[in-house]
Amino acid sequence: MKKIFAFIISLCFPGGILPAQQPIYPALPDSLQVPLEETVREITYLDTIPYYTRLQGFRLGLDLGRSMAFALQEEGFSFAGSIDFEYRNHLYLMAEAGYTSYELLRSEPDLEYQYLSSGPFLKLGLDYNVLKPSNPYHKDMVSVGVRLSGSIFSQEVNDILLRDGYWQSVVTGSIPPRNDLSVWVEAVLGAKAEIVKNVFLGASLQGRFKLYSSDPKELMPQHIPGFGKGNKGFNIGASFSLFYTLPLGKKHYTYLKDLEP
Amino acid sequence: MKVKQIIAKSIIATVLAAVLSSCLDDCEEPAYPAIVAGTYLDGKSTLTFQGDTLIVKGLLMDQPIYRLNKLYALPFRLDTDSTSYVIELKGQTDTLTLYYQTWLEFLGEKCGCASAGLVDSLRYSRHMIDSVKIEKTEMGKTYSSGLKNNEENIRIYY
Repeated sequence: MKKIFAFIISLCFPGGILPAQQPIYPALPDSLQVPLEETVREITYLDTIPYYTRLQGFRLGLDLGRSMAFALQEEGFSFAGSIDFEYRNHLYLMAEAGYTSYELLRSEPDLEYQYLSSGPFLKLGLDYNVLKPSNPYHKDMVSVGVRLSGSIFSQEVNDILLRDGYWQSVVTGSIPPRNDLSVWVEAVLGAKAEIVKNVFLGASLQGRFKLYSSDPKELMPQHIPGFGKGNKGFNIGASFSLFYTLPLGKKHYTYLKDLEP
Repeated sequence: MKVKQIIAKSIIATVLAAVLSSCLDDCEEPAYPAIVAGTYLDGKSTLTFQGDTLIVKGLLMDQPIYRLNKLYALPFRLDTDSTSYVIELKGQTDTLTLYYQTWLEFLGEKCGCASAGLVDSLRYSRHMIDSVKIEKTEMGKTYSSGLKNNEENIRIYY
């Protein structure tokens, strides 16, 4: 029966996008006296299941770094949350959403304006865990991933004061609010560690490459929510997050102690 | 590919991209709008006219407008839709009036905002000037470091 189940699993997940499965050899406590034949049976069983998941259920995340970074500024705020789950072994699907309100205020002799940018952003993608687990219960991960991201945001410039040095004239004005769209792709290098059961701390580094931005000539985006500096085609981002796993899923793997005699 | 190789290559690629990106900042200093004018004698660009040079001033202004990169960057009035200039050569004076439409642009954090506009039309006297032609309607910008391109808005022929 188990062999049939393993065969069905292998048909469902042919592994076209994944490298060959590394066999998992569970670390057995020395005190555990296991008959040799049972150990062999267990290892053989795990080897016949090409895919299994270690993360049970959905993992919810809160980007603490983003909120703290904006809290240190006088103007603006930002927050973001994420959800991910292990779609196949080592492969995680994830979604992140957030909102940023950004303000840039300059009041110098030749530079006087208030720039405002705000809007939601959404990131969808996947992470691949490259950390070889020491056992199936080991949920820490080091991952590489990719995201397709976008934001529809509003921006405007107020309190513009222009002085003309030759004619000695002064002009005030504003650039009215307008909505713009930006799309970018992110390459992500991240790590997550389970600090207590189902609670993870994570950090990641993101390289963000802009694919498209409506970039109106009269209003160059200064800050794109989720992307960062809008006048650049590439930005580096970092995040520091807290995660909690909702223990909703069923176990998809079998470990020695779970085997029936 | 080994895990360490993946991580190492990702970090190297990210750092390289960051370095390249830092070179792409397009706006480093405040910009001032100007109508860029070139002067021509017998169809050729020139700054001297038989030993004399032009003196260009705003109408009713004492301060001359200096050349930048061999061109005159004519500052225009931000509060109206036309500006007049006085051009002196060999004791003779011509008046040039430019008509335009302007709007505000936000160029970036360091450049801030600037007026931009289009030159619509012009009028001029012909004491010394032979003709004035609009070459490019979109106004130029000057920076403390000078003009960043030498595209002329108008050409003044003698």
